[in-house]
Amino acid sequence: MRKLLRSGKTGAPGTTRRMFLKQVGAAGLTAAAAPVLRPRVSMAAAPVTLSLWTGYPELEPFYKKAAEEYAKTHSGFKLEALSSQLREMEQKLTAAIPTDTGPDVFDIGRNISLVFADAGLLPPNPPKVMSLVKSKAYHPVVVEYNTWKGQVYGIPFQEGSKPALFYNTKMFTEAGLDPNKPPTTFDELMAAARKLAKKDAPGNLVRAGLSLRLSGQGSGVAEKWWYVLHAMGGDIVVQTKSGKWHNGYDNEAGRAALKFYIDAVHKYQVDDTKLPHDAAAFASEQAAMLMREAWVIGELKAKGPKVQYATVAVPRAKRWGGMTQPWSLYVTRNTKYPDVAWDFAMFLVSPPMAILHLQMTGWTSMRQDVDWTPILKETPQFKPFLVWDKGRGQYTEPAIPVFDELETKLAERLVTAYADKSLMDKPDGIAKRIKEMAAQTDDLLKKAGLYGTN
Amino acid sequence: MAEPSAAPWVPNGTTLADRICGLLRINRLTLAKYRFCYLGLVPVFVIYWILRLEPIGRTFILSFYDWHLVRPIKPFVGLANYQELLRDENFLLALKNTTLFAVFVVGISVILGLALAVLLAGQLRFTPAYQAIYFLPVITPMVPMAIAWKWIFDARYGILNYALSWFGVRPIGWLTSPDVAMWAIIIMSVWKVLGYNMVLLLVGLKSIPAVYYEAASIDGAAGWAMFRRITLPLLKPILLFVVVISTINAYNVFTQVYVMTQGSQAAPGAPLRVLVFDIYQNGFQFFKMGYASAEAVVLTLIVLALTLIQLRVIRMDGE
Repeated sequence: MRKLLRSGKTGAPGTTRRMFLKQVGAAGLTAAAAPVLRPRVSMAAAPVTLSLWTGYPELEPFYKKAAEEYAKTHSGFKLEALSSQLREMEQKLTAAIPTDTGPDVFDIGRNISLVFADAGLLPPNPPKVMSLVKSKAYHPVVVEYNTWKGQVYGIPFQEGSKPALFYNTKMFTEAGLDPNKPPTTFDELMAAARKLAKKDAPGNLVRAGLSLRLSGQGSGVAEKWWYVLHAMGGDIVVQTKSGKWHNGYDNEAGRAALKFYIDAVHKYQVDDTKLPHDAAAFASEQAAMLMREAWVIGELKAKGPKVQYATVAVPRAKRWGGMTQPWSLYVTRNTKYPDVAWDFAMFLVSPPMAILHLQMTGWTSMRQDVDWTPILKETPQFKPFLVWDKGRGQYTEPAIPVFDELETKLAERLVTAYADKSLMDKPDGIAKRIKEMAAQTDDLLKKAGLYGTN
Repeated sequence: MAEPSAAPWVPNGTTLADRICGLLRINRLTLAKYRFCYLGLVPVFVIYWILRLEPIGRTFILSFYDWHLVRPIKPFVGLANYQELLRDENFLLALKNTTLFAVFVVGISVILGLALAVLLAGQLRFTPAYQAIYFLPVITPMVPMAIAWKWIFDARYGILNYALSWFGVRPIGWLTSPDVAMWAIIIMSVWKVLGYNMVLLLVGLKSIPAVYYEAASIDGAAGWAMFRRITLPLLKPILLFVVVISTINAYNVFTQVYVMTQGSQAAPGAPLRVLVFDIYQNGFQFFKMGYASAEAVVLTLIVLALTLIQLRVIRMDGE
C-alpha cells in the first residue's frame, strides 16, 4: 500500500491493467504478511532521524523544541530542520520533490503543494491523518482548501493570511474616537482613518490614518485588496456550476473596492506611497490602523513595545468574512519512515504544540479545538485571530494551480491604478481599469483551460 | 616521446602520429605542441560546455515545449510559446521597459564615462584617487548596493529627498511612484557601471599616440576639433567594445529591479518589469520553464542583433 502511495499514481488515468494487477497483488501480499513481518514495536524504538524543511526561518526553533518534546515519548527520535527564505524554499522543493531528494516533512503554501499534488508527486493523507483533519478540529473551509481532486493533502498547520484590523488606541483617543468602539464597517473605517491621518505644515502626510498595501510586486497587493473586495461582495475568481472559473470582480464590488483605495490615497489622503508602510509603520506610530496577520503582534512586541493598540475583525460591508490561507505540513513520498513522519506532523499540530507554536513564533494554529484562554489572558490582541465571531465567514483561495500567477499579475495592475490620481471621482475610469484587469484574469484562466461562465 | 621527424612531411608514416603529421603537413614537434595545447584546453572546454553551451542549447530546445518544472507531462508545442509571447502584454511591456532602460543607461553611462575619462586623461592631480573612487561601485556587489540605494531613494528617510529639500523640492516617491521608479533604477545603474566605462575609455585615450595631437596642434587644431577629428576616430574600437558590453549588460538587468521591488515599501512591479525579471517570474515563480526559455531565446536574439548592428554601423562609419 505504501508503494502505491509512493508511486503517486493510484487511480491515475495512465495506470495500465497489468500495473494495477501487480500493485493490487503486491498490496495483498504485503497486507497478508504484515502481521508476521512487521515488527510490533513502538514507532521510534529504533533511532529515527527525520529531516524537515521550512520556508519560515522563525519556525526553526519551534520545530527543534517540538522535536525535543516528541523525543521524550519516542526515544531515538531526532530532527534535522533546514530553513531558508520562502522563495528559496519553494525553488528547493520544486527541484527536490519531483526527483525524490526532498526531506521527510516540509511546510509550504498551497501555491506549491497544489502543483505537486496535481502532478501526483505528493502522497495524500493516510487514514489516521484523515480522521484528524476531517474531525471538528478544523473548519470545513480549511479542509476544502487542502482538497484536490477528491483527495486531502497535508495537515493544516498555521494560518498564513488571516487578517485583523490593528488600531492604535492612543491615537484613537487623541482623535476623539472611542478605542472601545473600533470601526465595524468599511464606511466607518474610512471615516476613522480621515480623523486619524496627520499632515505637517507644508501639507505632507506624516501619519497614515489607514496603512494600505499600495506598492511592491507580488501577489500580496491583490490579497490585501481582496479584503475589501470580499466585504463589498466580490471575489477574485468565482466558480460556475459546471466547475469552470471566471473573474469575480468586474462588477459593482470590484469597482467599489478599487474606489475605496483611490479615495483613501487621492481623495481623503489617509495614506501615501511616500510614507513607510506595513508593520514597521504601525510599530513606529506612522500609521494609526493596519489590516494584517497575527505575526504583527510578535513584531510589535519586539519593535514597538510601547505602542498601545488593540485588534478587531476586519470590517464588513455587504458581507463579513475573514480570509484564511492554511499553511500545511506534508510528508514526502520518498521518506523512509512515513509512519513516524506523519505521526510527528500530527504531534506538531496537537493542542499543546499549537500553543507553543504561537508563543514561540506569533503564527496562529489552524485548529479550532484548542483552549486559547491562557494566551488571550496574556495577549488579548490575538482574539480576532483565534476566536471566530458568529456571522463572520471564512473565505479562501480557490484550488486552481494558476491562481498565484493571476493574483500576482492582478497585483501589478492594482499598484498602477492606485497611483493614478485621474481615477479620483471618475467611476468610468475605475470601471475601465477593472474591466482590463478582469480581462487579464479571464485570459489566464482560458490559457489554463479553466475558464467558463456557465 | 619519439624523436620528431626531420622531414616536415612524411607521406608514408608507419605510426598514427606520422599519419596525422602527414595529413596536417606538420612535423612531429609541432604535432606534440598541438596535442599539449588541445589536451590543456579539454578541461576548460568541458566546463564551458557543461556550464554554458549545454544550458544554452537546452534553453533553445525547452522553448519548443510546454515544459512545466513539476508536471511530468511536457508536450512539444512547436512555436506556440513564441506565438504566445507576441500576445503577452507583460512580455511586451518588459521588452519596452528593458529597451528604455538600455537606451538611457548605455547612453548616459557612455557619454558620462567618456567625459570623465577625458577629464582624468589630462594633467589632473590625484587622478588615481578619482579613478579609484569612480571604479569603487563596479567592484561592490549589486545586492547590498541595491538595498543601500533603496534607502537613498526612500521618500521619507532617504538622503536624496533630504538633499532636494534644501532647494524646496517636496518629497518624491522615487521608488513608489510609477512615473519615476524607472528613472530611479536608471540613476542607480548608471552609478554602478560608470566607473567601468570610464576606465576602459581612459585606457583607450591613453593608448592614442601623442604624435597625432602634436601634429594637429601644429596644424592649428584644438579643443573640440581635435577631440572630434583625432580622439573619437581613434577611440572607436574601445568605444564599440564599451557600447556592446554595456548594451548586453543593460538588457540583462535584473538584480537591482528584483531587490527594489521587494516588500511593501518597494517599487511597483509593472513600470519596472524587465525581460530577465519576466523570465525569472515565469520560470521560477510560475514554473513555466518552456515559456521562460522562449523569452530567454528572444532576449538572446535581440542582444545578438543589436550587437551585430552596432558592429556594422561603427565599421561602416570607419570605412
